[in-house]
Amino acid sequence: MSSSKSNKIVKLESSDNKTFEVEEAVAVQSETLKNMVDDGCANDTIPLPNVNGKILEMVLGWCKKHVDETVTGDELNKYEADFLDLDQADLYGLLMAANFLNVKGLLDRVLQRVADMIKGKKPEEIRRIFNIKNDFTPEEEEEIRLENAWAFD
Amino acid sequence: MKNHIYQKNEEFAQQKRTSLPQELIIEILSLLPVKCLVRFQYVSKSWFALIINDSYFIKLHLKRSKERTLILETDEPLDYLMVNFSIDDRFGEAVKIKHPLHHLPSTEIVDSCNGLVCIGNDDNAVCEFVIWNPLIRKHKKLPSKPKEKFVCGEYLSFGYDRVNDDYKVLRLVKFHQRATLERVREGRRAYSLDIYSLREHSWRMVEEEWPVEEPYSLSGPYSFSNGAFHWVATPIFTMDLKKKHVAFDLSTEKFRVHEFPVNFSIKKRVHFVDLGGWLCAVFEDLCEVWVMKEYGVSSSWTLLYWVQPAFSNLSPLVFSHEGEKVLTGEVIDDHCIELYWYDIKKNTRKIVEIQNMPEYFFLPYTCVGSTVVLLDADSDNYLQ
Repeated sequence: MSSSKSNKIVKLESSDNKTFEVEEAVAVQSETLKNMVDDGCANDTIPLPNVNGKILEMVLGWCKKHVDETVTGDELNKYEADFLDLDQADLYGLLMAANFLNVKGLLDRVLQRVADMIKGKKPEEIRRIFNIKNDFTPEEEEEIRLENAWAFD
Repeated sequence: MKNHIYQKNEEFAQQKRTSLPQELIIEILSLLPVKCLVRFQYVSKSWFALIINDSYFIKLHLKRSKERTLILETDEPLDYLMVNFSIDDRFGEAVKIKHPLHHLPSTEIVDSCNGLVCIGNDDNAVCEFVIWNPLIRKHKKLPSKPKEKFVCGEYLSFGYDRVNDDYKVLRLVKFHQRATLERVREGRRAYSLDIYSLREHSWRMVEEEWPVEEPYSLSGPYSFSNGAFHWVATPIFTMDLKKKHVAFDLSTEKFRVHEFPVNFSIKKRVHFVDLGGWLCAVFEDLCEVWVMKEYGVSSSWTLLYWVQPAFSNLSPLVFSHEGEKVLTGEVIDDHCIELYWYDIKKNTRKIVEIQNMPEYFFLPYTCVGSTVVLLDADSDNYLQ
């Protein structure tokens, strides 16, 4: 099979049935999609039931920007900084999508952004954000808190 | 307006229904500073287990950590000063911290490794040591050793045995001449060489013989680098013999002696430091820092940089995040130290200002890479 990638188009469908068409060079920024292309499974529309249209559009926008040779280093830095200026819901969705689609550069940036965002938060807030159940008894919680009281000021 | 908000919440709720996979949680937590991790211990039992006990997570966090801490002794023996900073040049303020041996009149920082600091005291009749993580405020006391008599030099080193996943403290003791002769007469070794292993939680004698003939002096700090302790052994009373580079492999517990380049021997006072995982030789009078580019290969010693000699220059402490600068300093006026980032290529300095530094503070500095390495340790809270 010839390896001319320049004109090949990849079709994607989001969980809410929106379709997107992108050049193969853009799509293969995602390791997941790259594997599908390499395995010859990318000839029909690829369904992505884990990713909604809004998030998929963002991810593809990122990928497009990163294959665009006319973009300068500075422009790219600014783009990446602005890109991550999202609310929690979108950031969460983006994180899951970047992980599922395995877009390495994007995933690293989003992970760092999430880490920066939760740094100052209290454990109760963390539980809400990540939907985690508190399985400590009040006594157990109190014990840990007391032992590490210095970390809570 | 209300509908719009309701819709957004619905969207958020939908997203939230899928909990983050564990591998993403690990990635995010590995990017956090230690103080956050201490707070997040009680988010849930699985987070607790991850942060406290999971050695994969702890090592990942250590590898990624850009957090560092300066620990400084001051003229108040009970407290040390701690300054948190990051290797991308953000400095916090100086904060006092009680160290675990503060019930003793004087202590000495042996070394730090992977975020753990080994502190010792040998003024008393008993040698006391502690291994301490100042960022999570937990420590473990080593079994005390009765102090020997007629000691003329005690050399301590602290490091990590990667092969056995163990932390070790090495203690070499040299005795005054008469005591040495007596020991030899009694069939004992002329010197004492003991090692403490955290896993065994006990001291034992090192079987290997010290590889250099007496008399010699050792220059410290007795650096841990590349899995071994390193000393410069300088022959006393003779100018003919060259300086020797002695290394003690922490995993095999065997000595090696490396050659020094010829020009090293004529340069005067020198000691080893570890900088970013490279073994470096610091020539104090010349203010030159050489790096062993290929560990163990004597011909690979290369000049890293030199600075203008000052009254007294500090050893380089740490590389900046990009690796083009080194944090170091010089002593100006009695006990007043000026810290700066030295740009190796550009030969420029950027002075570091730290809030709350007292007027006088002492060497040595020890730079700690922060981590959540926990031993089976005691909390600092219960120190009297």
